[in-house]
Amino acid sequence: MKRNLVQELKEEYGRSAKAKLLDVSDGVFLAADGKGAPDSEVYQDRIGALYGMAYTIKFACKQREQDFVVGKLEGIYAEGVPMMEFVQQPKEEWVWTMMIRMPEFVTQEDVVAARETLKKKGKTEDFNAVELREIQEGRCVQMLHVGPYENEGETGDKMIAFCEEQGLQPTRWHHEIYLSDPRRVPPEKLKTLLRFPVKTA
Amino acid sequence: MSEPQPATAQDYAARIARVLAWMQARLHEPMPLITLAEVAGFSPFHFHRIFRGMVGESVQQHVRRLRLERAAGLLKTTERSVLDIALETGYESHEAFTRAFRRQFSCSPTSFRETMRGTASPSPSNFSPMTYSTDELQVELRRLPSRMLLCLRHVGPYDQVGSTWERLCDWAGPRDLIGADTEMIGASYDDPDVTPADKLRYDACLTVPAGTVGEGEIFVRDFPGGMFATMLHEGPYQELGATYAKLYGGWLPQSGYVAADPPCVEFYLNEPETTEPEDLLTQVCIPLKTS
Repeated sequence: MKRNLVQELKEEYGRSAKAKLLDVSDGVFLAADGKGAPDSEVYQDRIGALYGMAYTIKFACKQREQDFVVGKLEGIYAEGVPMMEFVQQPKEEWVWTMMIRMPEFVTQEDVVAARETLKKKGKTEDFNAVELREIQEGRCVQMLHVGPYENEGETGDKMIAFCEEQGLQPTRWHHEIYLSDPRRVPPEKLKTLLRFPVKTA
Repeated sequence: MSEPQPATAQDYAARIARVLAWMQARLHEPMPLITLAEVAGFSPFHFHRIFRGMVGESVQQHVRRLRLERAAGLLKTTERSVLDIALETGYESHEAFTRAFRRQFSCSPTSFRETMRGTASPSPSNFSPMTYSTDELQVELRRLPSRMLLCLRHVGPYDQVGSTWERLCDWAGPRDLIGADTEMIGASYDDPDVTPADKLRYDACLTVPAGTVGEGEIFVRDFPGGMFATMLHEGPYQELGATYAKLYGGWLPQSGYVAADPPCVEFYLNEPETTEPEDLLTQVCIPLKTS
């Protein structure tokens, strides 16, 4: 049975046009840290490395009959910087962790083997920057953003208003899940899930 | 068969009206596709799509409906037996006719006759072209560049192309042929209103660098590009037919363009395995003749 986490975790990856409160399950991710604008060389290198690793691991798992669907690109932006402050920062200052979720059967050995495979093929991205990491977020507020990334602040405002209504306070970071591919989908149709962990105010 | 003439909306409407009248007058005869296309002055391939787009139903649906409507008229206004009317309507038995009649009118021929006897005969259907709002016809003309494609042929229903895609990607993925810029393209050669579902031809295609070599059933070919009319389809793949109907039946007749030979191509802008069907985006492209 082919694993498909996006389908299995409907509550976490499904669209919600309104802000909602949810408990996010702990997950294992391929993760790469960095700093810089999304059009910077380092960001592009990390994305290339993440996808290279994700697909190499997928095909290795498939060979041993543990097939899975490679999920969405996700990004966690800046521990300690609330979303509404973050969106004001110059893009060059952005600190991020870009990630792709993996099924729980993916191991550290798979990651090491995938790096080797890719290097043998002569790939030049920095695969050492990609690690297997467990992420725990717990209780979060989440909402679907439709449109260009530049307008995410408008959706953020609605999420903050929801928090105030519910007596919640954002903590830690904000998290973006890219449901559409910006190279192919026109900006006004882009769909992105926005999420941040919350505590009771 | 006549060559496509300079295309105007009136011209298309006139040709469709001509073929509708021709069909109406020969409801008791067999209607081969070739003959109908010839009467309309379209190539057989495009005829069905233009017909469906402009009339709002396929040729088969249209003929079936008209035949049943005519049968209903005979039931009301004559004393002929149901079997006799069934045979004239093109059904081989009382039962088959009754089933079809019930689907159309939600009652049996006999009870229809009983309730409707003596009322006015239904008038033969008049043709008024389907109308589409400008919003529904957001078409962009694009010159698509030529590309090298890695392809795997699928023959069968369109809703089963998933396994063909999986085989293609399982072969191409480990060979590093799928990257961030790879485009996923579907090329279709047949009209699902005409060709039986188990014979529909479709190629699952990935853009690949020149010099790529296939293996077994997986082959490389050159996509020549050219002028296309394109429309963005938003929603499940099962509803792509509606977008083709708008392109062929709504946009094409008033565009001044003439459709070229297939394939039509579809660019898949997101991943069906990780996208809600309502969010799927497909750029549908129909080829145009340029001279």
